[in-house]
Amino acid sequence: MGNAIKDLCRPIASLRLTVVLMAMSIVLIFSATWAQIDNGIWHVVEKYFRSFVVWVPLQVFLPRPEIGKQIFPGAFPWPGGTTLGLLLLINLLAAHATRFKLTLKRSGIILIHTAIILLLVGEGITGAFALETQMPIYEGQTTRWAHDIREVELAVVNHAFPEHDQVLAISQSALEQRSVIDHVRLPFQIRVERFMPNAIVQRRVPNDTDPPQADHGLGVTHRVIEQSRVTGVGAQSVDPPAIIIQIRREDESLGRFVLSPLFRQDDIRIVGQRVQVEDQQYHLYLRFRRYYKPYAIRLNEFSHDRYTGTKIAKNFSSDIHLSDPTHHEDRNVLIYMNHPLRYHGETFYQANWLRKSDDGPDFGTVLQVVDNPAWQTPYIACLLAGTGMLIHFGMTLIRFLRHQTA
Amino acid sequence: MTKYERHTASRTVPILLISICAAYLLIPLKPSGTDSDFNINALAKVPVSYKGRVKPFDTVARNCLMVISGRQKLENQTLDLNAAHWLLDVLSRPTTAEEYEVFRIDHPDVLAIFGWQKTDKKHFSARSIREHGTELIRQAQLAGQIPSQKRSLFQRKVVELASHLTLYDALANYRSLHLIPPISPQHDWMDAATAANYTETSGQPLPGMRAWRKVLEAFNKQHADHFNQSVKNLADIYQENEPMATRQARHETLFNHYAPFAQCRVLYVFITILIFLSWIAFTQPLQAAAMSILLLTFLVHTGGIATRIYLSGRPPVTNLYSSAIFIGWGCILMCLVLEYLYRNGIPTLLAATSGFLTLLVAWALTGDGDTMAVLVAVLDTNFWLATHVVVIVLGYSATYLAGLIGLVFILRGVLTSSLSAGESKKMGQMLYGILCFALLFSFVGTVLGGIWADQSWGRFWGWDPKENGAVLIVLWNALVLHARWGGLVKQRGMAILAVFGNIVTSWSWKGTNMLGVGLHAYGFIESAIFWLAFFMASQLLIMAIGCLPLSCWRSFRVTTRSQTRQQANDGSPK
Repeated sequence: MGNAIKDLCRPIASLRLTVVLMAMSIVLIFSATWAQIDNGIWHVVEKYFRSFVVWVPLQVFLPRPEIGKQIFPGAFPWPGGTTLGLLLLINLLAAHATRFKLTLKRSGIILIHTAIILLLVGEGITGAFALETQMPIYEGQTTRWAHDIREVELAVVNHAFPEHDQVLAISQSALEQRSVIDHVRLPFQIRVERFMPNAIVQRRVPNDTDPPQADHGLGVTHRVIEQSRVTGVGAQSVDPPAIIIQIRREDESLGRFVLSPLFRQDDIRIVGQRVQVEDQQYHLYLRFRRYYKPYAIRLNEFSHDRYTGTKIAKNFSSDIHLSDPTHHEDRNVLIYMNHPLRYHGETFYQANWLRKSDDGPDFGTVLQVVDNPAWQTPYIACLLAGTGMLIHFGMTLIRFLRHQTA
Repeated sequence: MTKYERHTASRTVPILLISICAAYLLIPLKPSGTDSDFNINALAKVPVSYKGRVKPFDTVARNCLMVISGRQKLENQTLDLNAAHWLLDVLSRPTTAEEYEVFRIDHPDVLAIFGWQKTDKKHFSARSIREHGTELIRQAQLAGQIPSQKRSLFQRKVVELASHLTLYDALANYRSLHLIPPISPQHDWMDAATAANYTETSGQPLPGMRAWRKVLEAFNKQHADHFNQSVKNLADIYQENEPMATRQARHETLFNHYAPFAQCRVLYVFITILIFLSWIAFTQPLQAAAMSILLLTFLVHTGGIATRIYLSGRPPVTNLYSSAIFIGWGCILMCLVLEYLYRNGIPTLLAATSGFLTLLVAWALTGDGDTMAVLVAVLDTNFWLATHVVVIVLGYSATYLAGLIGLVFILRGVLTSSLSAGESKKMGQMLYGILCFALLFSFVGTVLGGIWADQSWGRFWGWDPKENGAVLIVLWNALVLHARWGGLVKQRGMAILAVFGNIVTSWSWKGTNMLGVGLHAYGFIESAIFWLAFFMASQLLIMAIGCLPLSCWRSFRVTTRSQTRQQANDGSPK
């Protein structure tokens, strides 16, 4: 019985397969590097590494044609990162099931391979569960939420209450998929007329021949124009979507609105557009998806030091106050480059800063908030693999030197 | 030759050659005679703050002149000035300095906007450029509206020239040089305007300010005695107020003047030649000499890196320039171990070649300005620079060295008959050992890089071009070793695959930085990209040679023939 399984495992465990899978991974990673010239890094990661199959256009390996010229035709299918990762994992496990015995001589290799398994599994968990959000805070302001700049939501907010706001948020997927949104807690019906994944906002010129996109709010004086998706090597920039919606109540239009997260007062405060329903006022916001937190963070001071006589940043740091009544935490923390705050499974990093113009003064910080259940795996993997390689190659070296002197 | 004569030759030849090299290394230490009455060398040692780092006047002058003109000296038919003299002229005798032909312009289209044609002359004076200043500014502004990655080569060259002119003007107007040391630990170095403003508002005279003014006035009037007196006065003031900075600046000036890496570059070529000669005659004495000279040169190389660590207060690798120097250093260190184990001259040849090539690359990178420039916030961590960066660069070293061993294996096997079965086995062992190190360093270095990324922005792995490049090296080394373990390749196959490692490493080290920049340069290729492509193509050619059937390999053909002969003699069956 055991032998039958071993026989079955043998071809799956072969080193020949390992080499082929490694070569295929190399091709995949190489293609994905070139693809980053045209597409944002998130897009490439989803398409090449978190997929089973990817169609690689031949154009990615060639100089880009000038705008308007024909792109080079053709593409070839290739196993994606998920497929190759899983196959390497199976190959490795099968190899251990059939070939490797648990001996001292093999201990180095076993450690290295455990580390590889940890890294592969860790990357899988990160891909599936890690959440990266950002927390922009003005100096002196207290914030209880972080947002994911890769996704938007339509928030309908009632500001009438003195202590809090009443918020109902509609997810991006609902806005993309449904044309009519009805909810028991919504005082009106929302018809999504158009969803643009990436759009810019322009002020309408007085003698614009195109009709305005909206009859209420900012859409009367501004228009949104659809753009292609974000590109560029390592671009961390955002695709700001836009929507055109109609608000209806009992077959009567309460107005057509254009919403975009680019309608802002300054860096982060998105301008709400008012809908009047009888005596109640509601504000509409198309904003980045918010995650509310059980704790609050106040920014005491943000510092941005530069080297003498240059614009080169020497340091960024955020002096914040963390208060979390449920965990009895109430303290000041300094977050700066390479020194994040780890707090209850989340990690806070100094990511960016807020300012009105390129040369203007700074007036706030942006913290990156990462919730990654697998964040410790690389640390363990590095330790295991380093030790494993030292043991294995060390033994090889000692054997060799003995042979040499003999 | 009698036995005795041969014995003396084997003794005297190495000693003679080593003495020549030692003498060569000592030449720059002799104090350079001042050809003018002005003691500019004393001024060159005075510390100033420029681009955020306190450094000697000499370094500022050398770096700025390097950026603008591609050289560290101003030399033509009529002039022979060192960099510090040039900068002093820029500061104190602007009309004279305006006439110096220092601005390098290569691109014919950039020459054309001035109405010039491509001639032997590559350097132009500030005055002659200013005559067409408005057109240059217009062109630079036109190009400036396009994102830098999408500019054509012409546009990039125009913007570059305009930035050189800006750099020059900022120097000439005392805007960028912070000459005046801080008056208290809370203060910063001050530029001339800030210092003047401070004196006016506080009524306190700044001694450094007055001393500098005297120096510049004396030089402007070309009064040697006054100049030397005021430089001495200036140096005394700095010695008193900034003793630490003054000492460091003095050492850095010496370091600039000695230029250890330039010395090493020459000696590495010399060692290569010695090894080649040793294959023709005097094998033993020449190889012994080559190994000793290698050790000597390696000491100077190490000293150069150690001095840079002392001067910058940073681990050895902080930018591309220092990575090139360190890659060479790592290769040579591994070669010395191999030479100790095998003693056949091949590792010495590999060491000298890799040392020369990496220092050549480093030299080509000095055009960017200060090689010890300050680091942006995210890089400002000596812990990660000392761990991740050093380990990953050692990984580059080992992978390059493996590639070089593979290359020598192929060329030696195909072109000569010296690669006997024993030699082939030896080289296979070397290659295998170095590949193991390459995998160890590149893997640990890459994972450490991921951990750094997790520390600084919360993402262990982001699949960006630089990370992808690093993991490609790891995968490639792992692939070669697994192919070896699986018996898919033997020595020759491993050598061919290792040569491809050179391409992978170059891609990771240099290529990823050029992504998106080179692709939009229609019609022209920037020289760095050209050399990278040239290098990669040459490695592919070597691999193709390695794939030639064994009957084309002179070494193996000989063995096959001699084996056949031996078998014929033995009468043994095949």
